[in-house]
Amino acid sequence: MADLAIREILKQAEGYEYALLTSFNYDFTFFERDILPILWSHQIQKVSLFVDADQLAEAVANIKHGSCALGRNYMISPIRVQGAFHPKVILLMGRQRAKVIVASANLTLSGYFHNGEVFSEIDYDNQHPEGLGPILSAIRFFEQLFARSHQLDKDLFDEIKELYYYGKPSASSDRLILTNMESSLLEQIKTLVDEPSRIDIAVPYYDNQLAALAALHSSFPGAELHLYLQNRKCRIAKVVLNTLQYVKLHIYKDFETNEKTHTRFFHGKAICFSGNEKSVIVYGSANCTASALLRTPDDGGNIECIIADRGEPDEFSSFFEGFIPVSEPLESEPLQYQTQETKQLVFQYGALTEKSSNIELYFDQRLNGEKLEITYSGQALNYEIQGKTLTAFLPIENLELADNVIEITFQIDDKTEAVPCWFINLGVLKSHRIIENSSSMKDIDYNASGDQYAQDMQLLLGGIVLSAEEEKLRQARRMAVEGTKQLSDEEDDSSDGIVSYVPPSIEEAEKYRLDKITSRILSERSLHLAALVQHLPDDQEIKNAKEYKNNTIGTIPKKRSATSAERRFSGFYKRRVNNLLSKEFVAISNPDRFVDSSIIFLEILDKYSLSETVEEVFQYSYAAETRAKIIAAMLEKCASASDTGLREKMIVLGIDAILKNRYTELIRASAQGKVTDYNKEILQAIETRFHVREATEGLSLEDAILKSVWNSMNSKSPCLSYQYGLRYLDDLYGYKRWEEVYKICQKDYGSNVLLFKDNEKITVFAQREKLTYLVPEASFFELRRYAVKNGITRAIIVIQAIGELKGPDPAIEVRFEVDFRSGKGKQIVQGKKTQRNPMPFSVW
Amino acid sequence: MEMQKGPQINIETRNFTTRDNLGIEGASLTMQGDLCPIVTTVTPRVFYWVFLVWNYYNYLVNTDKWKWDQFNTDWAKRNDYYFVLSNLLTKGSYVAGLAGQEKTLEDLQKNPTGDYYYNTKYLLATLGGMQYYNGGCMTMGFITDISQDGNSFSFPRITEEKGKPLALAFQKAIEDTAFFRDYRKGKQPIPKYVLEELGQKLSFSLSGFDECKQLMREALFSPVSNQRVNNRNLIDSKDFFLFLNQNYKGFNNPTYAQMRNALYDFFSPRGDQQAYPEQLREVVLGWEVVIGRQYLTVGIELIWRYMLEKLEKEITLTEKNWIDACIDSAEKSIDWSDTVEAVASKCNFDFNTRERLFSDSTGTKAIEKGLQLILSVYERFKNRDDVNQYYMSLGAPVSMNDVIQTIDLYREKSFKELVAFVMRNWTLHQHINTAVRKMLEGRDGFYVECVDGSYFHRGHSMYPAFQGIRLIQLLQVMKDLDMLEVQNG
Repeated sequence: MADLAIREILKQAEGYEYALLTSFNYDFTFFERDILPILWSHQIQKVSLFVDADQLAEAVANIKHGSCALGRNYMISPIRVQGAFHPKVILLMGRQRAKVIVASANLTLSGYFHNGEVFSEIDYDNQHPEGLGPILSAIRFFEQLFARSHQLDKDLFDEIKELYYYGKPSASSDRLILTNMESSLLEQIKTLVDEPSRIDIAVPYYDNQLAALAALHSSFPGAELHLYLQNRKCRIAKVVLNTLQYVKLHIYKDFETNEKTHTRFFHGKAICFSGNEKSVIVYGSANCTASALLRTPDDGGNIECIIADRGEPDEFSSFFEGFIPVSEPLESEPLQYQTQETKQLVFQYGALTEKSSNIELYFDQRLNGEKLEITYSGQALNYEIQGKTLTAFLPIENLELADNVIEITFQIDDKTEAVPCWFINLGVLKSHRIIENSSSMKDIDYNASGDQYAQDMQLLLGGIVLSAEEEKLRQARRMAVEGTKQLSDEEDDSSDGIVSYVPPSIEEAEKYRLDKITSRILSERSLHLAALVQHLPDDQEIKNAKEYKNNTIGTIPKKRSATSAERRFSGFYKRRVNNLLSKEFVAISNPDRFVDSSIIFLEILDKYSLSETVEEVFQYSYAAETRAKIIAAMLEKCASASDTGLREKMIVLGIDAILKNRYTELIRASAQGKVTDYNKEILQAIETRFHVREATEGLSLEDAILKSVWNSMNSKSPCLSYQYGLRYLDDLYGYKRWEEVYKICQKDYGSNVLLFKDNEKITVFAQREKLTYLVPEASFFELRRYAVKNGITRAIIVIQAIGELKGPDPAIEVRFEVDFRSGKGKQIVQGKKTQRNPMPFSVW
Repeated sequence: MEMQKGPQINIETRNFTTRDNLGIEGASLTMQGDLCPIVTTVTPRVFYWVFLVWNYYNYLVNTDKWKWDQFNTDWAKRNDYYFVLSNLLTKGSYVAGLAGQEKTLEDLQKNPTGDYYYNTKYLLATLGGMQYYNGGCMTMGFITDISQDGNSFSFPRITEEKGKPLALAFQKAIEDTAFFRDYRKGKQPIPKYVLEELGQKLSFSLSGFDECKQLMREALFSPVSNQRVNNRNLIDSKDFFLFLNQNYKGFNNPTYAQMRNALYDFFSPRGDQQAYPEQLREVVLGWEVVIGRQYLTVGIELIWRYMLEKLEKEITLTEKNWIDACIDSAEKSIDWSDTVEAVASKCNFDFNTRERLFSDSTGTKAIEKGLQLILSVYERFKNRDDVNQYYMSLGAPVSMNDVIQTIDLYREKSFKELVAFVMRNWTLHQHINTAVRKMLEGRDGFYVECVDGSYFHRGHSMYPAFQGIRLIQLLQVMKDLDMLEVQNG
């Protein structure tokens, strides 16, 4: 026996775009962690699975929320047959090549890591034209499965027909792929085999009547039947076996491959027919059971797939020499069949189509109760019954999780049952597949309007990784692929063994690991901003700008109502933005990637609050608040970024957000008051991170940035006038010269304010009426900036009645002390003249 | 190339640890890997990093076709063998902790005068005593299996930037020995005097290899941030240890218990709250979670061990009967009908009480003591927003956060109900889930077997013990690099 690992073959698989797979048992964790990343690492993005329906239901029942990419990143189609849907096939297809792997291994941990399994691969490419026949057989097999499925992956199967080798005439080959879709495997084997003298059978499972064995004997009466049985692990009815005179038993416990002994369970299935002239070995999914060998699925049998290799008389005998014989009596139990409980409702599949606002969940129904209620998370769902199919409608707004596995509860009369269901999100799946394909990227139209824009953006946002779970999974996938590199015993002939190698920085490595799909789209958006930073308008451009209502430029679009698709999109956007801003995701995501993703969210806000005013999609206050939150998260993410480009991008984005917030505040008179707070937060965050104000004398950088932002806004949508914007920012920013500090204090605190400064502190005497509401928080931003810049650590604010004395207690004086280093302040207690409960406060 | 006909066998293995049968020990290891990268509990000696890098260099420059097996057997292990032999032949050489010395000593006793052939049976593991150091050499950038343009090498290369200077520094210190001149390659036997001379030069403590030490100090403790390693936490952990060493007695050679005490109790806001430099805050809080996780782990393991012992005696029990039987037979020094909240509030144990809970937890006391340990961890970490939330989320479904959330839900319920929950979910079910994977791997597998709803005991190797703490190995590394005064050799 020779050994090799299927995953190793997949790791070498270059030049394919499609992967079609089948399995009986299915393990989400295994597939998504150990197989899918390998496929993705080779840009095999179009992945479609066919799995036994009952086994899939079991796998779904065991899944944890948030842990699977089913229905979003790959298609899964349950297949229900009277027997078992049992084939284990992987078909990879590219423009110029294809590969099929037929195995006995299910897509489970035990199938790939723990059992002994058989498999073989057949290639078709320039060097292996003889592989075409088997490849076409495999494609035909998958088309037959597709026809039996719910046919959700129609686009993919249509695309396959475009491959140039599809339907191409093929030469005959020594290697065949056989399935029992149209006739039984035994019938087909009989046409390949010519009076064998010996049949070697190494399979773990036999039907309890040994009907398949009997059929082999009667089909080839001249052949000795040799059974290789793994003691205590194979399943065969000993009682019946003892009555058969025509079989010879070879009991083994362990088997050998490449001189290594394995104690694993041998789950492989292989039968070899040896004659004087030739031998034929068949292997793959089929056990020695009537359901596998003697029937078709329409005849109550399984669905199976095997390879048949034809060779010289003893060509395959060494395979059976790998079973190490032991002289022990056979110990084995017969197969036990599970009886299916008849249920009133059996889940089939769920789907969310691109234009629908409901997830449609399909069930086979045999209802015999009188009262039926279907609920999701306590909310009743509408449903309809047509013939044997019940369809439940789950409005997407009600969906709580960004996961495609959900639990639906049925109450039939007094009986309640929770059924785990899943659905394919066809839009997201499509985006996952089309984003990879550069020609399909054009399908997403950033400048579209109305429903088309909402739909395209939903596709786009759905395709971006935005949850910590997904991000961890994405990173784990990369690790899984990259971490499996091992030192091998191969020769090398390069230079002197000393190489220059400085490992890339974490940022560089992260960049390298970025998912190529989304980064392509995201970087396109970033280019726009990069260009923005570069483009500084000249004075003439500024002069040419027309003022609109003194402060704004451009024509304000009329408000319009949102369509239902836009309303749905609004809910979707809000959920996704929450994912984006979750602490865990912010912490875990890559800075560049985070910034790029955020830009898309900001652009969508602008779309609905500026270029198209559809307030029903986003309230202006929501837009202002969300802009501030996104910018804050981006700044937090880029706190340590030393990349100049990223820094400028952040400053541009921040100031852009401020001006847009102010614009909507002025024009729409909405979110009044709060906008200044949001904007100050943004500006302070920018200052804290990048020190724009301190770094530039004479406001040149801000000026430049403002001009470029203004220019950009003016080109796309109405905005603030440049002069107004500059003034507004200046007001927000604060002042750095003493005279300016004095001016702002005069403005805010009253005309008769007095300021004294020494090396340690600034003392402000001011009119009481002004200060009582301005102190402590209000204008201290400006004061503090000045003080910090000039090494002044404290401020004493003395509130006195300067000028005209009024009121019952004209002598009142209140003092506050502020520590500029910490930004904390407190009231200084001075006898009776102070407030009763001095409270600490913060000025930053 | 013709396609191969006939079936092949899919053979691929995945390694699980054989020990952690509940699958709950890995979280602490992950945290430690973050807080103290490169230096692990099995790589405590700087010598092997340096020696291994030189071995790679020596092999790469003296051969032109590089094969892993050849390097492993004929070069790396061979030189390691002669290194051990030379140190055993050298009077006064400090050989404690030297891997492979028993086998080598036998060779010496059989043949006291030499010459010495390389004993190929010496050390079966890959790279002999150095196998665990290979990863560190890669991480620190001395060797690489990736070229600058991203292609991979089938045999690692020495890096011009870091590996070559270290190898040359090592070589400089031994280049005037007969071993280096005549015996560093080839298969000829080596005379005794050659090894005695080598033993004088080359010791485990790397004395006289100051340049190597300087390069190692830089590699380990100068800030690096790349895709292989970010050693910020390693530097902070080093500084944390130096802080302990300078300010507290007994930290020149601390025991694991001492370390648990210091890391868990000295600085915690819910412990002694002693002062420490603010810049160490992240690692101080990080190590507190590591030790908390270790207490949690042994707490659960104590309960599980008792359950296994019980099942062994009773032969077979259903899940419910098993849990009930454990509860019935458990020794109760507190009232188990008290609410979890009431019991937990008394679980703010000091170090000695906590350690005694573990050491006195034999037999029927195990369940109560185990759960008290778990509750002490709960009390320590509930409502804490200062600790690293990533660490707190490791080890699901029994992460620290899971534990806190679960106990929060049980606050109003009785201690007894929480006992039953822990036995069912954090031990039995957790074991079954972990064992499924292990058994399929052909490793230890199930300690219990369920037949028709009843469990049978299948034997176990469940001996709860605290895990290692990498700071201890970091201490040895620092001593090797002359960053701390050496005591006790």
